[in-house]
Amino acid sequence: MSEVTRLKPAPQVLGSLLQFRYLIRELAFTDFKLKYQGSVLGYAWSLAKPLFLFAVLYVVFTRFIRIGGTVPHYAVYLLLGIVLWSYFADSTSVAMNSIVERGDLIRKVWFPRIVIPIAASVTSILTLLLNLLVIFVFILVSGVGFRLSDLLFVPLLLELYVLSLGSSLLLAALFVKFRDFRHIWELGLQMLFYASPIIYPLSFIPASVRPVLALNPIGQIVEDARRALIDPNTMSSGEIVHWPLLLIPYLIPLVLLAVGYWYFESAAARFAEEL
Amino acid sequence: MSAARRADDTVVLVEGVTKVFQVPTERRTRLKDHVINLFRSPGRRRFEALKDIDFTVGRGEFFSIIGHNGSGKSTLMKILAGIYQPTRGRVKISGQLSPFIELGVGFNPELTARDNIFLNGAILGLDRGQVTAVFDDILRFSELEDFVDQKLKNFSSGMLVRLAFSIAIRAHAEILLIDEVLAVGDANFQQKCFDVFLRMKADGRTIVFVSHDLGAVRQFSDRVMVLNHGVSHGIFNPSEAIAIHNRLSEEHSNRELERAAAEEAQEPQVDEVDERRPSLHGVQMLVRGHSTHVVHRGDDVTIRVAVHNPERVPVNIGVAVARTDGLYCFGTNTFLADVRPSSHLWIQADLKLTQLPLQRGTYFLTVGVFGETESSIYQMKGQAFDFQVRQADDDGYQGLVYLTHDWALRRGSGASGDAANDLADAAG
Repeated sequence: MSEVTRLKPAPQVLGSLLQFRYLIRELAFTDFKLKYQGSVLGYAWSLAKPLFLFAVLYVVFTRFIRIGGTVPHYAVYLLLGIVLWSYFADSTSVAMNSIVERGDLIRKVWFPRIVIPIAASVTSILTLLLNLLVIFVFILVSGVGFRLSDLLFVPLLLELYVLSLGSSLLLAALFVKFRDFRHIWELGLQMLFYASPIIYPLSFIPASVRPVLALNPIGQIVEDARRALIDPNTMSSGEIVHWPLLLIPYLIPLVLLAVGYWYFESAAARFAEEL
Repeated sequence: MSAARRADDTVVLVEGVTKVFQVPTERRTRLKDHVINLFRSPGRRRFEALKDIDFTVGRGEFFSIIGHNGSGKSTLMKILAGIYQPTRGRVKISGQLSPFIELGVGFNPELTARDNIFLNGAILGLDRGQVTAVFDDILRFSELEDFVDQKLKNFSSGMLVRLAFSIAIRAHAEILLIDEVLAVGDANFQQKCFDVFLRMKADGRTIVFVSHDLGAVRQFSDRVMVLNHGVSHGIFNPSEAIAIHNRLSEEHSNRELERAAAEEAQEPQVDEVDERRPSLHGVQMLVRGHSTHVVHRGDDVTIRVAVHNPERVPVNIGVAVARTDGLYCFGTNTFLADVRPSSHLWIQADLKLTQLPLQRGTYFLTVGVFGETESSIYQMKGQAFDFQVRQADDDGYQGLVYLTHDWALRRGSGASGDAANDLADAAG
């Protein structure tokens, strides 16, 4: 500790994260527990939100606007998109708030500040895992069945986590200084939702616009996940843009994590005074 | 022991630490504020909370920091803990530092005591296994075995402090930062806390302690630093430090009185536009002429209340003593005692308590200034002053007050020599 705020070298950060993994776990599980404490249905509510959105969209897009009819296994297809999207939207929104919300802790105890947004991201993962259980039930029931390519879903989840955590770190640190980000991010999420192939497949988009949308990592993750789990013929970024442009959606999460981490750590030393 | 310390035994090194807060005169938390004022630096007032602080603490030392409110004690502790970064200077800590400076931080009122013990333990750097190993000890020490599955929101503040302290002492730290832990909690629990300090000291753990409790500072410290308005007055042995601290607070209150006297002298120019009503201007407790927050049972104690009375109306000054748990012990006022405070601009009322009968514990003073009827309250301050009553360690008397008493024994006169028979006869 000295007068200059320095970034800690990576091994040291991993070391202190390892040391504080119990704190991450306690904070994450406490939040998860408190979120549903006092409600009769408890954890079921974490499933209700995406399922309800799914039900509404499913009716709209299979009964009124019949785009769903031409997509094979549209129900699972839509639900998977919504669950992955909900994870990204919820985890970034909750993590953005996390530092400000834990102001009391930050002003009075020292521990690596990064523990807080990481704990928030773990809480969101718990919800995601519950939701994925529902997806697997859907996959079984709808007769999609399991294949070897399902295993590709694991690295895609990892990519989604990196993307969410990177965004979360950036947002959490920015939100301490600029409370506007609550509103900015709300608008940003709305835009991203429609700019990503969640309710529609990429193949429905005019070919001239597709390359732009294909660079969006959320779209790439969702469509690749559908390819892996549901329909190997789903159009994904790989068919629209090619090397080296194809690297962009995969690089964005890594760059966001690096930038988010750097910004968070350089702002963290002043959190206690700014809150 | 500190004098014999070797240089490589220094575990806390503080060199030229200065902390400047930029207190914003306007608050910019919205992006708009930043954009609009992009080319104008925000209006800020510099506030130097600490100035060129130097000290070292050796392994196994009990180092205390004392000073009046706002002297920078807590800022210094936060810098040691790594919560604040110093503006200038260097802090070097060798060894594992307890991450807490205040008790019960991170307690969640919606969770049970059990869950909070694990959460708080994690904040202190303990894993689940380590907490499980000391879980029963924590409950036993805090005397909360029967409340383990109660939510914390149903706990009293005393129970919270007991629980927090019991967890905090389990932290595996070589260096402990302790800020004002003993302000709450009943006398018995405070005694347990002191015992823990003594044991930690014996174990060779290093403790940096900040407190208003000069009695505890005197009892435990090896060396004491006196802070005054962010500047160190030096490091002394406990008695010297407390004497300097008392002199500083006396000078502080004397300055107030001088200022008041000057104000009274040039009274025609006194311009009190905002407040014409009598108001309270400080409460002090004096023992043998020294201002203090710690007294012993049996001391002759003076409670000094200063009142500003611009309109020179008749006033009634009242003082009440209550224990921290709210038990009202005693109340008096000048009218009750048929004393009429003089109609001066400044009134200094001394309430003398001879041979204070209160037993060990923490107490609060509530002071008030009233009109001729008690219903006209000019100003009343609840918990305007807190103080501790000590009694000698081997003094086993219990209860709220010490009643002056004598035991008289009478030898029985019957042939059996049995006094009980005599008593029985007398009763019959």
